[in-house]
Amino acid sequence: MKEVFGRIFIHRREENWWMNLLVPITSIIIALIVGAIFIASTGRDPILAYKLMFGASGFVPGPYFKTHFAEMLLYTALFASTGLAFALPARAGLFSIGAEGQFLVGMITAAFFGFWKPLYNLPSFIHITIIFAIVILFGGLWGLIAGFLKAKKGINETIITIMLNWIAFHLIEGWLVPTGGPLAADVSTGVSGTPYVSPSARLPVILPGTRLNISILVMLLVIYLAWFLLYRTVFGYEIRAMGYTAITNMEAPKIGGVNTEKRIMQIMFMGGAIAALGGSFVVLGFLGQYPPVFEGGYGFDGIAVALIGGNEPVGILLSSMLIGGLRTGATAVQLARIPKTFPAIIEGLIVAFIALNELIRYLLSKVLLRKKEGVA
Amino acid sequence: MNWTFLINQSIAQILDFAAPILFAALGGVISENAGVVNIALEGIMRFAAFFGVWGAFVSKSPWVGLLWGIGIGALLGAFHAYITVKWAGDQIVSGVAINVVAAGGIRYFLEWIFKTTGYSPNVTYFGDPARLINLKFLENIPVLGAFAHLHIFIWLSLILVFVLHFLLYHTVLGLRIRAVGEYPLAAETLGVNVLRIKWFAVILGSIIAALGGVALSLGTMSSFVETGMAAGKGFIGLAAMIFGKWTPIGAMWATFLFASAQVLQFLLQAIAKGVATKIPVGFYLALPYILTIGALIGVVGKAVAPAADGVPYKKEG
Amino acid sequence: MEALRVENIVKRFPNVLANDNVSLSIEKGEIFAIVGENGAGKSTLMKIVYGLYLPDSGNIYVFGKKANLKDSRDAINLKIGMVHQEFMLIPRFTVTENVVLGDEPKKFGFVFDYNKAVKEVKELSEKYSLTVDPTEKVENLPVGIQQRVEILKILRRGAEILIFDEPTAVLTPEETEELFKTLRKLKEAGKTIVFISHKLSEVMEIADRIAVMRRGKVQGIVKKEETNERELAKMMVGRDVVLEIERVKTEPGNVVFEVKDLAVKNPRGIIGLKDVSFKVREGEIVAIAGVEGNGQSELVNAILGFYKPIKGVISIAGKEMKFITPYEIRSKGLAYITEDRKRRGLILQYRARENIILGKHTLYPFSKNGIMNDAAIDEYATRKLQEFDVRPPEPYMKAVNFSGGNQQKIILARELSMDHKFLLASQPTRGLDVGAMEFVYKWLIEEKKKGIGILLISLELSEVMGLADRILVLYKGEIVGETTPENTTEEELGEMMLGLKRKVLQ
Repeated sequence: MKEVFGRIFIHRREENWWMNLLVPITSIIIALIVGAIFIASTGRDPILAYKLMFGASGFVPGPYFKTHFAEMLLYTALFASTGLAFALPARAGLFSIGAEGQFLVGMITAAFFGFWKPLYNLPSFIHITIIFAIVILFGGLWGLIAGFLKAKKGINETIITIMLNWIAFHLIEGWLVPTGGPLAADVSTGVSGTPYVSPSARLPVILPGTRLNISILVMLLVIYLAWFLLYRTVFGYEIRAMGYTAITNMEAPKIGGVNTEKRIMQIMFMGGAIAALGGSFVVLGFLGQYPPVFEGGYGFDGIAVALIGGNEPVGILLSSMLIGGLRTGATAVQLARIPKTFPAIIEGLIVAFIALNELIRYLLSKVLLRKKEGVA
Repeated sequence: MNWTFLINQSIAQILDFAAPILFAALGGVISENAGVVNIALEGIMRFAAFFGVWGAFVSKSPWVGLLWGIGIGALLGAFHAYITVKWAGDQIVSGVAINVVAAGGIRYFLEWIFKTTGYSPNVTYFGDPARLINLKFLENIPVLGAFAHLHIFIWLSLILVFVLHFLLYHTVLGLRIRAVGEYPLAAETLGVNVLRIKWFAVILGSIIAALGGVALSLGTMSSFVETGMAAGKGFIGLAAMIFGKWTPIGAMWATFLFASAQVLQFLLQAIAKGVATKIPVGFYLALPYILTIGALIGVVGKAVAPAADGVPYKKEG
Repeated sequence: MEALRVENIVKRFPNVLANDNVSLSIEKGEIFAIVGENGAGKSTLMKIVYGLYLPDSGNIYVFGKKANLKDSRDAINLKIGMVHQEFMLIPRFTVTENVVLGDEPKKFGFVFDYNKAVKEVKELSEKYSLTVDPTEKVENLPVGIQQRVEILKILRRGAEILIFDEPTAVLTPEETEELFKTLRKLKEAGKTIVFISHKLSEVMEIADRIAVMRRGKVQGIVKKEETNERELAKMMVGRDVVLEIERVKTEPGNVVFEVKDLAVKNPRGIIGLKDVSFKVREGEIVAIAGVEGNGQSELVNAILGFYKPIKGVISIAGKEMKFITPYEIRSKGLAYITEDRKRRGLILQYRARENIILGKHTLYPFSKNGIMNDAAIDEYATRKLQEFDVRPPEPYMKAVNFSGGNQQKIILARELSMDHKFLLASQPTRGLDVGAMEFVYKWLIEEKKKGIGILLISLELSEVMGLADRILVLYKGEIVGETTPENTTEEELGEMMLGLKRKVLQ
């Protein structure tokens, strides 16, 4: 085992594997610096802003640490779900931006089976498990539509997933959920949106005194499974092979017996299922229903999270924690008279610097090489 | 039942709704024909929508607002080009960066400048009845009557379709742009300055998309509204571009298809109010997207992008 | 008068010194050939002359004047033109658009005057007898015509020095003759031609003087009259090129592979293979000889399942294959060695160990119940890499970092270790140096001894004559020759490959 690790180490060094870690980290640092400059240029105090933001991010001990920590982990679960929904197909060479729609599908499914009479009084453990199972199924199917069309008909998955996002959105918020719709709560109850789910469907809290529920545990399991799938199974071996050869029409894997059509459909199903799971966390964890209007956006943040995390399960875990922490700290940042959407700017800057991959590698190699010469 | 009025109103609605999307789609067309993917259309539109209003607010003139919108479009385009052309960076990542910054950054600006959350004050705008381009004589002609009272952006979007078509398919520059998007090395060996052309196409594409953003906030509406503005129009533009097979005219028809949801709702409400109210609004809105998928399945599925689309160009040796 | 001179050109790439102090001088109006094996540095040198690469050091003189070549535009301005090995043509554009790109006739300064362009292309093609349809899309043209378009491109810009990089690699024998006719005509018109090739027979036919390059250095420059192919080969390789191929006699066994009345269309809609039938037996090497483009790729792709035949039957081990997928035919016992290492043979970003189990990765012991067994894979990979002399025998090294010869060895290791009865070897020694070639031949003989039926597709006659038990010559999609090495000569094979002779056994 040690031998193997050593060999990987040697050959990864061959391509400067540590550089792969350094680039995102450098991007983050530079982004924070640029963000600070930006704040300063608009007349606010950057140091105060960052102090507040990180203080409330759940990373750093401080007042209300428990609450912030909990919030950070809750966000982590959500971002990780949409992050994986983009990253897994990406590893197979597919560009799927359907996480947004899949997330919504998960939400509405969870909401429905949460208030559905036949399940209403089941014990919590059973009720939630059943809901999760159905959510995975429906979300997976939503993703499978694009996967099927791509595999069997060669239709560009990007455009299909964009379409499906909108179809999900409009059908849910324009038909199912508005007053009078099939899933809407009865007007007499005074509730708008779907009815509230049964208490037995609410996710159990694991840290008393906070909102932190099992969603993060579920997501940790999912991330582990994603990693295992990608690196320890035949499935993952084939998917990664497809991703590396996507430009050349996947000829080598096909000759090697890989059933690319099947794999495309399977990975798209998985991506959809995971994003939907994230959606169910929102309904069963935070809201208790599908509200009349849902602002969403977790889908697109998922892309950023995936890119910062290098499309790797572990990387996505870390980047979701980062973005989750920024999001949590966002409310506090308002005390420095900075709008709470500021972290989104930082997020964008991080991604931008990741895009400048080449530039950063170039700068880093210059800096590090100079150091070496200095020593000699 | 005044059919003429109905038809004209419907077409006018399509054109109005389509205009911002069309700009986004055209922006994408130009950029991708030169081989650079730009999924930041959404973010660029948002930025431009905001800057347009800001400029109009500051100067009390929508024209200045337009200029500001174009300016930010050019700036963002230069940013994207810098990353993707100069440093051959990942085009998707760069585009995502812009979108994400747009999502959060604009709120920041709103609060900083207007001290509000979510919307800006009203400004003078192009859709103002006083500023419409009035062709009264067309009013009562079926179909053409739709063009009787449109604001400038709608005209601009349509004219732009044909301008870009001409540019791409009948000018030297257009030939070179397409060559660069298909096989940059071949163009390079003939002395075409591949990098310069990519810069140009990306910035031009961004500016066009920015026009779409300004069309949103200064066109029919008169202010910037956080939610609902752009709100996916950039991505629909992207889809229109793909569906239109990366040509300006194709993108135009695709955009009209997507915009027709509005029309359907309107038409149905006018014709059969009873039926109309029974169909949930969600179906109308979802219909164009469902139709698109249907069309893609029906028509020969493969949309063929320019051959070197999305591939960063690195000079060898 | 001297047309082109390069002096002390040095060019280094990360792993290799491509040009090591190269100097040579080319006279105006001559056809000057540069020969050498793959990797000798000939392409690199000319790409430097054409401005695509910048030399690390050295000078270039064009018509006596020192030249500063920063990019292709500079080269074009100096009247240098290059026809590349991989055509620089945009498939979706028409001939005219491709020819005038970068130098388009204009109206009003920015409008593309297409009609004028068409006229100009017509005039140019008539002037040099290079017939083309100016309005046809390049993707619809056969390779030989595409090459004409490339030539027109450079003539349009007034090229006086024309560089051809391996121009005949993709031509049929007829097209090659047409090309030579064109070259002679261009020479008459006073043009200077630089002809890069590794095909000695052609070079001997067309060139006036020949420079031989090996490992980045110029080994020698000779006049055609003063040399012959054998001499050139010796200079190219440093020793006698006659490869030692063990001649083994085996008794052919049962039929292990058969095609009957096979006809295949290629994606362009052209019927590349018409009515082909043959059998391959256990322990037999059947070689298909022919110039590239006569149906070989259609045959291979049909066997693999990438193209669907329009008629005919393919059977392996007696079983007819219908609706073939690559997986199906491999499971019936087909192993495949390809010349296209980068796209078909290997997954470059995967490590050697991952490539070596491709195709077997679903089987025990490499995986069980869908979960991969790293220890088993490592053990297997280490063993196989040693067995097949892959250097370095490091399972954790990414495929892209191995040299071409070693990449092919990895492919061999993978394919030959499979359970198979039939081996499809498509140009297995393409791009390999002599040492690697010998290695491949050795293994093919081993396979033969084991009773595997081998279908060898090759463009190299020496290879065909050395390895085959039976030879089939493919010309324009049909088998025009059936013979054995004992009953034929390389000359005769050449004639059949050019369509000049038929020798079909009844």
